[in-house]
Amino acid sequence: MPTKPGIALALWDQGGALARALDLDAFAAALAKLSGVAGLWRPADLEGGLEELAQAFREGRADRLLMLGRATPAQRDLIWRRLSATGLNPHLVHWLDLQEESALPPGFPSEPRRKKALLITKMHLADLRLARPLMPVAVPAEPTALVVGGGVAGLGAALALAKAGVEVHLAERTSALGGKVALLSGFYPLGCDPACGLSFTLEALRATGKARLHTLSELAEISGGPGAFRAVLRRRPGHVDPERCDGCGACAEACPVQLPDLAEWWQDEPPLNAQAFALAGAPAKAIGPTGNPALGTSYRVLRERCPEGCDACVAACPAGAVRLDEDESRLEVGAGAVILATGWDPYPLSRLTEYGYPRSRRVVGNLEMEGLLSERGLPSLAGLLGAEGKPPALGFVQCAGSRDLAHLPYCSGVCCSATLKQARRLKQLWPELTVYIFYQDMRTPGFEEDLYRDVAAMEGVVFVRGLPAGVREQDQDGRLALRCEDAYAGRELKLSLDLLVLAGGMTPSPGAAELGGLLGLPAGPHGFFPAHLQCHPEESGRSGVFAAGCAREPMNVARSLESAARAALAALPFMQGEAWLAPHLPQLDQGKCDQCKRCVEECPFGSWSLDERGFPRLDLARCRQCGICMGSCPLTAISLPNRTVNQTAKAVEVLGEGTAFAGKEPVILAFLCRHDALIAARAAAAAGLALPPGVVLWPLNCAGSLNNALVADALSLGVDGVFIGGCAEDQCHFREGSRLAGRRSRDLGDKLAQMRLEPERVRFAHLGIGDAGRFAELVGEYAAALRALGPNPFRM
Amino acid sequence: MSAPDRALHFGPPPPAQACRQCGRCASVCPRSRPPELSPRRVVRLVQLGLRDEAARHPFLHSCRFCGKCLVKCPHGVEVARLVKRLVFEQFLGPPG
Ligand code: SF4
Ligand code: SF4
Ligand code: SF4
Ligand code: SF4
Repeated sequence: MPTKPGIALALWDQGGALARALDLDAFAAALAKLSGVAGLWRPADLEGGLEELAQAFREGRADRLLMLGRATPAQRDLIWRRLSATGLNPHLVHWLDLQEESALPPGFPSEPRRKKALLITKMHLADLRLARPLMPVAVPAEPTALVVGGGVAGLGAALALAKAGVEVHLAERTSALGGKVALLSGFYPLGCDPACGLSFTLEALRATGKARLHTLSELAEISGGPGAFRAVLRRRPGHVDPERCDGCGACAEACPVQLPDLAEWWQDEPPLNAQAFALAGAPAKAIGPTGNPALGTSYRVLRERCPEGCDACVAACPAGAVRLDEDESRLEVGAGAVILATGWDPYPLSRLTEYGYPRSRRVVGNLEMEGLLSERGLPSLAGLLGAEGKPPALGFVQCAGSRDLAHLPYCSGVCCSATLKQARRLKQLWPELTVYIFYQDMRTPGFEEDLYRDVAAMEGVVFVRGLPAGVREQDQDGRLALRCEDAYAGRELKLSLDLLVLAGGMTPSPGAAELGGLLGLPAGPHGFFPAHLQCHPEESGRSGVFAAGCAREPMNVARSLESAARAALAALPFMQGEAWLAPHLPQLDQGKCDQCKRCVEECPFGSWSLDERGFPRLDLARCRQCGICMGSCPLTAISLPNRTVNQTAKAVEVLGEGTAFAGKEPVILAFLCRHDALIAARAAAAAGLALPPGVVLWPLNCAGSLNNALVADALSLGVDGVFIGGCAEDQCHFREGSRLAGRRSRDLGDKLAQMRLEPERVRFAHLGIGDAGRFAELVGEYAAALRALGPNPFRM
Repeated sequence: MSAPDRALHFGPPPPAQACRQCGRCASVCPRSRPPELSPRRVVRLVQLGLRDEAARHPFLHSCRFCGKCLVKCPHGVEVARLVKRLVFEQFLGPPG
């Protein structure tokens, strides 16, 4: 009669650590007697032993494996390759290194040591017995991307994706592509025109035939999830059909409305500094080209400027492209992933009232300086310098509104180099010019130091260590007067300048907050999209949504492009026709669920929504498989399939029955996050640090995945104390896990009171991956505290 | 006046612009008495275009021209030569 397949136990003690710590034969004999064990293998050499093991799986005597002992990664790999060939599912193989699990406490005599090792093995057997084979899950993944923002980061991401074969919809809010970079007059270090790089990218993008570029378009609605978003783009009317208009300019010639303001044509958003651009004095009409001409003009009508009844352009256009009655339109697109590349906006320098911006035409922002340094702006700039035959002088105020608690508290990281670049250009154009740079620190990381050194060595460039507190316009010649203390010289300087440039910082672009709301993104630092800077800088807090460029944090062009590539790469798996998800997706038992919605609220990634009947429904592709919902459910209705509440409950039960192993010592069950605390604890045990003999480690996927019911179980079964270890609150891989775990363990107090137990029987601690010594210290202190409390009254 | 000194007096002045005010010259200088009597101060005044003030600076009388500062400067400023040049300017007037 064929018997039910059991668990194969393999004892692999290559280094002899187990044999030194306990009477291995007696231990093996005890193991072989455990119920449900199909056999015990003690291979002398791995190859031979593996063949025997594989035989047991092929013959159906065993269907799962517990490996006891320590194997190198290469050995694990070998074991795994041999056994998977028999059809064994990876989720049915567990590894238990008794040394690391603190199963062999050094101070213990051999007999109780064997008892502890046996108990821990039994706990893991109980867990493994309930394990189920699991397979990766495929979900549909539409091979289309939605990129929001047509600046350098958005175009970079779009190009990377299009080259990878993905269809791209790119939505740009303004009428022109290229973003802020299109406004710059030169790139560091080569000083080349950014339009060149941008047009190169655009050309490559068009050549893929995969990209649809929607200007004047914003994201209006979004639904669905990773792999299958549905988005609605709203397009504002431009009144010129881009498919017909070839830019002949006949319309502009016919248009009777002359606009004073170049800025509006430079970019159709509020003028950066109307004055600076107006100085360049180019005429503009109510119809005309927008954006940087090098990127291909696109014509549009500023309808609010048209006189009533005028349709001169309509008549003039030989292509019949003008549509004065055009309305807003909407376009629905599907996308596997969304890339947010909404860029930045200059800090409104008018808030720095002390510098007289924009009242004085001699005070400009650094972005306007880019405009003045361009071909169109140079005549105006020349007109501003060297008034009344005085030697020309110009100043830059660094950190204008940055690193300032009243304005932007952060450093934008680009304005120092931007100033140096502009100073270098100015000195090339006007060698006799004196350039003052007022600063608190110059920040030029990496090779940007070369630029700093070059500019610092120039005659007539003066770095003043100190910021002026204000500036006033001198009456006689209209130049600016300011005073400033130089910290190094200990002198006050009184200067008269032709022009003052405010090196302002970067803020999130105006629509960013709204867009974040639309996508349900958690708030990020300083209004930028959130990121997990160390591990996943492209992270937006929502699966399938990624941030690139300055939408994420202030950065320069090179980093924007890198971040775009990174975001594209991270997004790609959601756009391959199907996406494969790891099989640890939480499962809900509707029979237990009372629809309290706690899981919906506590999931840090917004993965649960409610179905028609009010039950939580999981969006598989959004889920990060952290198990925080498993920890949240008051009714234990949710489990990760590889670490179910039941599996852990069984292990806890085994521990409850075996508390005697510790003698008079307190039994401590340490639930530890496997990413940090568990690694620290295992390192402590493996290094032989003094740990209390009664401590038993149990892995969690995340501290937040621990359900309080299991803690209560452990205490009601006589465990003296439960120690919970999570990472530092702001370092959790799953954003909220550690914070929630801390809160839940504090909330447990009432429940303990009902059980007539002291609240100290639960302790939560933050532990880093390198905190082995600290773990030993904390758990040692805890054992002392528990000794003082006396044994758990429920202990058998 | 020795030949090198003549060259120093009549040639182009040693540039001060590259100075970052790191203070290494002052730290190594045996005669430095901060904040005022310091080679770093003198370099700073030149940098800021306050050359007259630099040429009257009392540190010029403290300096022994040992050249330690010159060796230590990470930005290649020839501090001691600059100081000496200023001494010449103080006593002999501007060159030429
Ligand atoms: S990059 Fe320079 S100017 Fe800009 S905020 Fe940082 S320190 Fe200030
Ligand atoms: S937390 Fe549990 S009971 Fe509450 S809605 Fe979610 S699954 Fe249902
Ligand atoms: S809490 Fe974690 S495991 Fe649960 S649904 Fe959210 S992401 Fe997935
Ligand atoms: S050592 Fe050089 S850079 Fe430093 S303070 Fe002296 S002269 Fe300036």
